[in-house]
Amino acid sequence: MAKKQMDSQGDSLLHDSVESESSEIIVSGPSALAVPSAPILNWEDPSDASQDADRTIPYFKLVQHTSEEAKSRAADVGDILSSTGINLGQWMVIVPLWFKRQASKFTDDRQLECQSLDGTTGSTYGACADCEFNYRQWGKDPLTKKSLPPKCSEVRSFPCLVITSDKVQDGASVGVIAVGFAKSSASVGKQLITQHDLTGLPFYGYRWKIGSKDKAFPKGSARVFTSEFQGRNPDDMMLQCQEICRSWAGASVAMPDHSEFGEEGSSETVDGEAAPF
Amino acid sequence: MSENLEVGAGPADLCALSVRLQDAEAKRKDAEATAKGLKELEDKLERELLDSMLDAGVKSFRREDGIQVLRSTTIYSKVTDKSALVQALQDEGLSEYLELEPRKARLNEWVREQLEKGERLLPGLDFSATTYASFRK
Repeated sequence: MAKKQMDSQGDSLLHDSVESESSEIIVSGPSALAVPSAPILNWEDPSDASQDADRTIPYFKLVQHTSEEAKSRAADVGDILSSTGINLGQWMVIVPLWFKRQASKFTDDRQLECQSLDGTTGSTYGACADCEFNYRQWGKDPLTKKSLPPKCSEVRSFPCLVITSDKVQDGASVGVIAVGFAKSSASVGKQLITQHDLTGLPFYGYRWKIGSKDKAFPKGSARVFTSEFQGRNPDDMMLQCQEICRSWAGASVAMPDHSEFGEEGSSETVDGEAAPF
Repeated sequence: MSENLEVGAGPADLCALSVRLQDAEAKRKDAEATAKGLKELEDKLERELLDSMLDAGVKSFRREDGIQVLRSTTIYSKVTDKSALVQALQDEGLSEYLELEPRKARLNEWVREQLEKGERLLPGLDFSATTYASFRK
C-alpha cells in the first residue's frame, strides 16, 4: 500500500469517534486498521490446549544466572530462548501484535499458586477484582513505609513477530511468539503500551529491540528485560501484521502455563519495584 | 505553680482545652485512616479504569453528565548514558538541551514529541511514563 494511503489511515485513527446516545467514544485505532488492542480470542486453559485450542502461542524465556540452560552451558545468561527450542541470542527486534494482560501468583518457594490467563479470573482464587492478592492493589510496609508490590504479579504479554535477532537473521522462521513482561521487567511492557497510547497506532505500528541487563537486588542479581524503541514499522509490514491479527481473531488460543515464569518467584521491594527473588 | 493535679481538679479552661485537643487528635487519626483507605480504593479503581480503557481500545469517552474521561500520559526522559547523549545532542545541533536549568523539562517535552512522531530517541536517552485518568468538563 502507498505510504500516503497508510498515513491517511493513521490520521483517521486519531480522530475516529463513535457517537451513541449517552456517550462519545474516541477509539484509538484507525478505521482501516480497526483491530482492537487484542483480537477477540477465546483463551484456553493451557492444560487443555492439546484437546481444545486451535492454536498454541510459544513464548520466550530469558536465561537467568540460575537457569538450567546457563548451568549446563547450553545457553548464555541473557540469551532469549523460545519454547520451540530456538536460541535468539542476546537481543531481538520485535513487532508486538497485540497486548494481553495476565497475572500469576507464586508461593514463597516459587511454586505457581494461581494464574489468570485473561487478567480477570484466577485459577485458584477466582475473580481478580475481588481477590485479596489483586495485582492492582499495592500495599505499604507499616515499619519502613515503603510501597509493597501486590502478592500477585501482572504479566503484560505481547504476542509478536521477530524481525531479526542476535543469532537468527530471518525472524520470520520464528512465527508468532509471546513475550511477557512482569515484575522487574514490567517497565518494558509499559513502554510498549505508552507508545501505543501516545500515537493511537496499533501495537504493530512500531518496532522494539528487546535485550536484557543484570540488575542488582538485595539477594543477588537477576537478568531483566530492556527495550530500545526502533521507530515506525514499515507500511507493508503493518499490513502484514494486520492480516495476522485478523486471522487470529476468534481462535481458541493456548498461552504458556505461568509456571514457566517461576524464576521470577516471590517478591520484595526495591524502590517500589518488585524484585525477582 | 501546681503540678500532678487530679483529673477534673485542674482549672476548668485547662481541662476543657486538653479534652478538645485530645478530641481533635482522635478525629484527625480517624480521618487519616479513612483517607488512607479511600486513597487505596482510588488507586485501585484508577488502575481498573485505565486497564479497561486500554483493553477496549478507548482513549477517552464522555459520560452522560458531560464529563470527559481521558487516559492521559506524562513522559519522563531518562538519561542512561550521559556522555553518549551529550555527544548526540551536539551532533544533532540540539545543544540547547544541555543547558542546566531547563534541561529536564525540555528533554521530557522533546522525548514526548519524538515518541508521538514515532521517531527514535537519541543514544543515551530512554523514557518512562505515568498513565493516569483525567477528567474534563
